[in-house]
Amino acid sequence: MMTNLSLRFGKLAGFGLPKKNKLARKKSVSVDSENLKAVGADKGIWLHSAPWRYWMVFLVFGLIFLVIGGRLILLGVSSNDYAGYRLPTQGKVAVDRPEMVDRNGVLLATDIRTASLFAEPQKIIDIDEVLEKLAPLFPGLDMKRLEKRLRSKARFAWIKRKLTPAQQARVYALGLPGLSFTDEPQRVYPQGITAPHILGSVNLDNRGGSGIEKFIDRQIAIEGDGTDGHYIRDEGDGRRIITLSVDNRMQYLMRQELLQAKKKYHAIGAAAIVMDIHSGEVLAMSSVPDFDPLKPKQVLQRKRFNRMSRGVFELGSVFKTYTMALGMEVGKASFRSTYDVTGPIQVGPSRIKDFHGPKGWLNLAEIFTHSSNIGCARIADSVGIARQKSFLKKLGVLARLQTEIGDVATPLLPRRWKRVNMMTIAFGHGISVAPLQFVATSAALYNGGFQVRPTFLKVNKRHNPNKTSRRVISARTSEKMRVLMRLNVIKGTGRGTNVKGYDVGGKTGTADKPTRGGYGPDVISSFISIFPAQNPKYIMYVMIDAPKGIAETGGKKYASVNAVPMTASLIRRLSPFLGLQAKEKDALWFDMEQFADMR
Amino acid sequence: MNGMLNIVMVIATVIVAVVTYQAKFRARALELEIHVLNQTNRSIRNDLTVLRAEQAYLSRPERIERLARKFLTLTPNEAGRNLTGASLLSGREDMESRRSAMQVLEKMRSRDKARVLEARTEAQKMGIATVLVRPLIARKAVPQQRAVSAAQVMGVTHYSRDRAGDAQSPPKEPLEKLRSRPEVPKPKWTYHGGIGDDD
Repeated sequence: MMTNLSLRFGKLAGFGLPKKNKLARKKSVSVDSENLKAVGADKGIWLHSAPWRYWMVFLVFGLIFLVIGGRLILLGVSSNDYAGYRLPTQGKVAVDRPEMVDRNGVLLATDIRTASLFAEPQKIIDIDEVLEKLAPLFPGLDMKRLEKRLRSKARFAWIKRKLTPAQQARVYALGLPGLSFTDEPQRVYPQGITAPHILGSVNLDNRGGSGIEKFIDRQIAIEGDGTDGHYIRDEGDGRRIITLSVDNRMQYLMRQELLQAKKKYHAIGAAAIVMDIHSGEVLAMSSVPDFDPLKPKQVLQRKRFNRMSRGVFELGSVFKTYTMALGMEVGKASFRSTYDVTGPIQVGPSRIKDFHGPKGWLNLAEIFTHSSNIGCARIADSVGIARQKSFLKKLGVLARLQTEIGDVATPLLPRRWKRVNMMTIAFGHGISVAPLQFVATSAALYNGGFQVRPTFLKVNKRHNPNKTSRRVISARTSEKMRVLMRLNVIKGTGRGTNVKGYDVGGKTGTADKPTRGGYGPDVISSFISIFPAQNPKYIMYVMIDAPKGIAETGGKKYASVNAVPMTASLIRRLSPFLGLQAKEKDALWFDMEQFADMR
Repeated sequence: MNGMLNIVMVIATVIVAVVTYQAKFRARALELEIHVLNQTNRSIRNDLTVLRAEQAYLSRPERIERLARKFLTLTPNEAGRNLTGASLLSGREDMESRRSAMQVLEKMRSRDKARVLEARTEAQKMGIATVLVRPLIARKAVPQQRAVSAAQVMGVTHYSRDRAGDAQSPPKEPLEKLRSRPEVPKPKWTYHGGIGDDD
């Protein structure tokens, strides 16, 4: 048997040489047959099966060698994962947010890398030592809580996130085992507090919580394949940029003006917006008091909310612009129409009154320039409830408006749209709308009649929400509205905004602020303006929340004494950045004759 | 014969093994190199981001305004103070200054950023407000100008002809004061690149 085996192996080694093979086979046959006789097994099977087994063994060994060889190649070629050799990993996966820049490319928000300190409690040798040494470095740290966490069986515990480089160096110097750093991105807003309501804020994990920051989160697949929405441009060098429609300089100036006005009129808040009347780009929008995006506590404070979009207000007389357009659009009112404003209108228990202005019969323009409540109620009455409602609906006043910085507060409408509601809505009461929605829907009244969707991102080839905007009022009505607005600045309540050379048009609004069960003493005073009125490029809205009467305004708190001078000041300061040039003289572009005998 | 073949096979195996391992080590060295390069790249990018943030922070309108009020005898810009080419020329009677004003305007329309900047300094020397020039810079000359931050332009808009109507050169005294100021205000935060890298 032994000889048999050795022979067989010898034969295996000699495989590949047919001549020798044949010889060997002969030999083995003879040996085999002797053995087989002894065992008494069938001769034929062994005779033919022996070479087959050689092949079999060869094949098995061959395969093993192949596998080993293949593995060798794999080890050599493939990455370090197989080699048991690891390169230092690149910290934790932290999401870098795109940079935000203003319409001129000025940096508004970016991520910088900061170190965060964490512990692996199981690797710490002496917990007391760690606590003792860390305590003086981080005075604000809750040591008891930290001790509890370090003594627990956790594998990971944050100690302090987002350290300054100096703190980090000091922790390094301690040389404590079990403590490590990880790279974390930290959002910074290099412009300081200029547009927090637009930019929004991020949480500790660098996720967007509000404003454009939140919009960005909806746009990027944070953990996924990294495909960005088309608003975020990849610069190719690792920078990703989202370009906002705002102009940083205007934003700054507007906020300064608002802060001044708020202080001057002892108001609880103030807000303003400048929007491109055709493209819907918001060039500057501010609401004070606002918040520091790096102070999370402030972000949620009620008084710091965005008055432009997150709150609804009864806006008052600025709403009369809708009523004027409605009357003219349905053909019920024209510049020649006259209305009786002699006495108050009694509708059920309510009484609609005028507090100032002439009595008797007024024409359309006079109703507008004297801001007559009775007149507007009469115009609405001549049009009717259904048409008023459908007109406002068509303009987009009644539905919820969505923007990149989040949903605009839903308008508050009367539960049942009765005759009295129709009349009060005609002069801006009994309906509450967010100022941003008011501005956006008003744009159509002056820009030739096209609906405008407001946007906070720069309009370009890829992003133009108003590319296919639909007509909502006729061009004729729009032109007449521009005349009325200009007229109100020349002769009416908006006289203070007649900044020379800019052809401003506008309408004041002073609305009583509702309190529980009626109206309180406070007002919302506001001013909506367009410029240049002949062919408007921009629409601006300014509002002051609860201004007080001061000596300069003669103790009054009407829009004409606070919102109007504020608008004028804003136009003066912003116009150089709007690319508008003051004309030497304000030319009259409409027939003033027809308004010659206006009261 | 048989033995020979075996020896040849063994040698061949050894050679292949050596070559494979060498290739592997080379690959590993390259990998390290790539890693180091990536790290450097990353840290440079981080530094750039920090510098950009710092630049934006230092040129924010609020600071520029504060500094302008402190060191320059200029008033805030407002409506009606912006000049066009025509109005620029109208105040200049002699041919010489008309021509130089024209040249400055022409230069400002250039597509070359350096020329625009040069023209701007000249305009400043002539006491010309460069408000209306800004859109030119933004739209035509340098579409995505970042070198000149808009805030800096804003600083320039404070230049204007004085009320008497005479061209006014930039005030010398306060500028010198600015230059000779001994202590540099400390930045709010500093960054020491590289410390944050660990494994």
